[in-house]
Amino acid sequence: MDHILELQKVSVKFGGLVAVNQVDLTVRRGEILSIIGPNGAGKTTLFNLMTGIYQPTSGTILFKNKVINKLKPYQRVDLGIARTFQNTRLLKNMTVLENVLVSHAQCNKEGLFESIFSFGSIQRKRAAIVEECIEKLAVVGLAHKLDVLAGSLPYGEQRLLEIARGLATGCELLLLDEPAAGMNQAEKVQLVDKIKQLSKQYQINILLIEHDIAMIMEISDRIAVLHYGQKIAEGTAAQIQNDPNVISAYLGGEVD
Amino acid sequence: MNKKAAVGSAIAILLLILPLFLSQINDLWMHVVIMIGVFSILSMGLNVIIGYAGQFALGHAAFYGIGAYAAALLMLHLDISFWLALPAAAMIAGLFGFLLATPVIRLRGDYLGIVTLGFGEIVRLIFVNWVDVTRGPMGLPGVPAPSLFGYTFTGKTEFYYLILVLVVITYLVVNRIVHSGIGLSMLATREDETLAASIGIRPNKFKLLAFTVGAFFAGIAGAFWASYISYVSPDAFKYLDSVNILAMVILGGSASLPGSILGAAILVAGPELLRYVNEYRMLLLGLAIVLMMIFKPAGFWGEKHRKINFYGSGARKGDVK
Amino acid sequence: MLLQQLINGLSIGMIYALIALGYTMVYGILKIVNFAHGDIYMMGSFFGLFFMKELHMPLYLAFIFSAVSAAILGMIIERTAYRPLRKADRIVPLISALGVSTFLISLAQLLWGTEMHPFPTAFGSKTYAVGSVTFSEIQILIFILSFVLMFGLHLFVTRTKVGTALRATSMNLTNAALMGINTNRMISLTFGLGSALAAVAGILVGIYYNAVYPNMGYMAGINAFTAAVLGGIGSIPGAMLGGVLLGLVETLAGAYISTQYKGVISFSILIIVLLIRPSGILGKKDINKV
Repeated sequence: MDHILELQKVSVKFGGLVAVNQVDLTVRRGEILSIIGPNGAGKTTLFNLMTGIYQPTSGTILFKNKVINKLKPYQRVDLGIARTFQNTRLLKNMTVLENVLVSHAQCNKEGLFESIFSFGSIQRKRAAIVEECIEKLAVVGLAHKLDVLAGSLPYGEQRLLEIARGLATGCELLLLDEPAAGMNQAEKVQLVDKIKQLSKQYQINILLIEHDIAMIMEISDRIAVLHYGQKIAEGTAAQIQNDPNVISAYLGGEVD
Repeated sequence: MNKKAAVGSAIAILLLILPLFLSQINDLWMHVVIMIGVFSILSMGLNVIIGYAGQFALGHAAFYGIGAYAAALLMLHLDISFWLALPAAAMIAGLFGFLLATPVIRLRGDYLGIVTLGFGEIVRLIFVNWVDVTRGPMGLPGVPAPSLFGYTFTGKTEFYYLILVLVVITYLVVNRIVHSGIGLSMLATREDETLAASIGIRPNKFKLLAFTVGAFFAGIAGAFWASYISYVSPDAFKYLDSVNILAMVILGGSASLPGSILGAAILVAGPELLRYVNEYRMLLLGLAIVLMMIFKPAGFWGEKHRKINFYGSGARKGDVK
Repeated sequence: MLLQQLINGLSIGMIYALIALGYTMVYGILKIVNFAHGDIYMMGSFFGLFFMKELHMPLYLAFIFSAVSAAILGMIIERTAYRPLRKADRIVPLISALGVSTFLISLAQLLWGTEMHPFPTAFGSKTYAVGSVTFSEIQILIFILSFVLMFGLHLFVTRTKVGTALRATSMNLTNAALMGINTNRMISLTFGLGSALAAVAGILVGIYYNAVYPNMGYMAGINAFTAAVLGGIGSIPGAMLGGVLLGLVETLAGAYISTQYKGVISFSILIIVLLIRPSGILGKKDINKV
């Protein structure tokens, strides 16, 4: 299986507005693919289509060769797709650890009778789940803040928490929506390293939306460019840089 | 931990010997304490729905009533013993919780409130109008008291110990449910449903579970009430009774079980203590609800006081690396 | 017979429309359901009763004074029980509204007792026969008054500057404020208007059924809310349409099916609408940006 995710001519319309227009996209196994494009190009909408928050009005979405168009978001998480949000979405009134715990499949799938009646085995099970969650938090560097309320974290750490949360779901494909927003240069360098590391360590494919071009060039195996809901280019960093469509989208076309 | 155990033991002993004092003073106060127990169970159940799962449910008295009528009918017509009728009534109430919530579970806050209010009203209308079964406004008299090893409950003391046991069981069970992965998932659903779905939580499952659990325990309270008062009529299960239970959850604190017990104590004992304002009881209640929302929306013993590390006690015994 | 039922249904429908307007306007602007609105309608009815019985006002003055009193009451409630909670969790103002409702019902019970009061006017009982149908005076008043008021509201909201500001505020609160509209005043105005209309409806009902009692807001409130949702919550023409439709359906169902479970019928309509088409007949679909 070469592709983990495949979009075939996917479109979505909201009333009269075509937000995503006949997009073809594939994410190959083991690669880090970035999506770039001006604001309003439809990048987050694409993520929403992949995760099931929107249903495509036409086209097919395949995950591991299985059509997932009709699956609800929580079902897609079960299959192995996780995401972070552009506007950080955390459970602000719960602690850092709890935010990650509740994303762990074995935690949110705990049974009713199990939680009421079992004593010894459930303790051990929960301890193991907690261990795994702490490990994910350690990867993003937040293991020292387990009992801090998520809402009181500084912005950069909130974004890291989102990543840890995504990892805890045990996903195979992680969609990161502008993970470096609000970070300074040093933090971005660290983030790039972290993403590369966790991608190898947990065998996760990464799909990334970002605006920082230098960071994109550094981290991506391939890049896709979106403009007004359409994919206008796709390829390696070098190919994208020289693509005339991309240049005109970002810098404007020729003036007659 | 030692201090906590000491306080806990003191309270336990006090609760166990309470009837010795109260029955000397006044039978009325035994009744009040028993009713605090009944309403504690009701408000803990409603807290699971409103406080943990964040569903604005307004018709809780309906499940209380369903439990009472179910228990009464089982005991009167099928001669079933109280000890079987109680769990049966609870399961019937729980089932209704599930059935009534299922069609409307995806409705948002305000709409869900009106709809659950409507359901509560319809259930009450059925109690009043389905005379063949419920005898309408005349009610069902003569519901038998529980009997244990041949001894039938006669005085309030026996009922007191029974409700004490029921409250403790309710507290222990609900406590385990909410301090688990289920509880965490409910809280996540309450705070941000879209986010919850995006991390693998099926929101409707947990909302329905909350309704079922809440209704189940309301059924227990209802069954107890039927046997205690030995008479079931639609009068005890009106809209204002639902508001009363809601107020107990609000006062005590949403997502806090001790808070629910506190809220029940305040709203059951309060009107008795402040006899001279009994006329103004509902007026003050309405005012209290508004003031609580403005000044103390988390209740008196609310979430802010909850333990950090919500996920099962002892899950993190070891050191953090 | 059918025509008669239609007339009756239309009468009660116009009443529902008047009350529904209050729900829909407040929902449009604040996105909350004012649970206490039905009780303002009830208070309006009692105000009318008071002005006529104790102060011996003629009917038309009672309407005016009652509407104004209810408007003031509505604005006070908004200011004290809802405004401080604008930034809180969505469930908080809902619970507050519940508290206000409880407060109002108990207040009415304390002031006027729980029994039904007859409305002190001979007006309304005369009837006119046209062919096989009968119109009572009060029904004619309901038709005329409701129509005039709703038309007036429509003109106000679409043709005046203040009305346009009101519509702007209900479309987008933040943006309206950024454009210099005093949104707090718009919100107060909304509550005032809705309450005044509800009070008029209250007096009309008091005369129509010759009964005023503290719990009358409860069922009427649920019905009016159903009407608002049916027509499309947040839409003024929707409230009018929904009210009339609900009145007709309810009366016809009551006449041809069963009167006992009439409440169940309107309530079932509410559930069906909320499940199948929550935006109602004239409402717009809500698109959520994630």
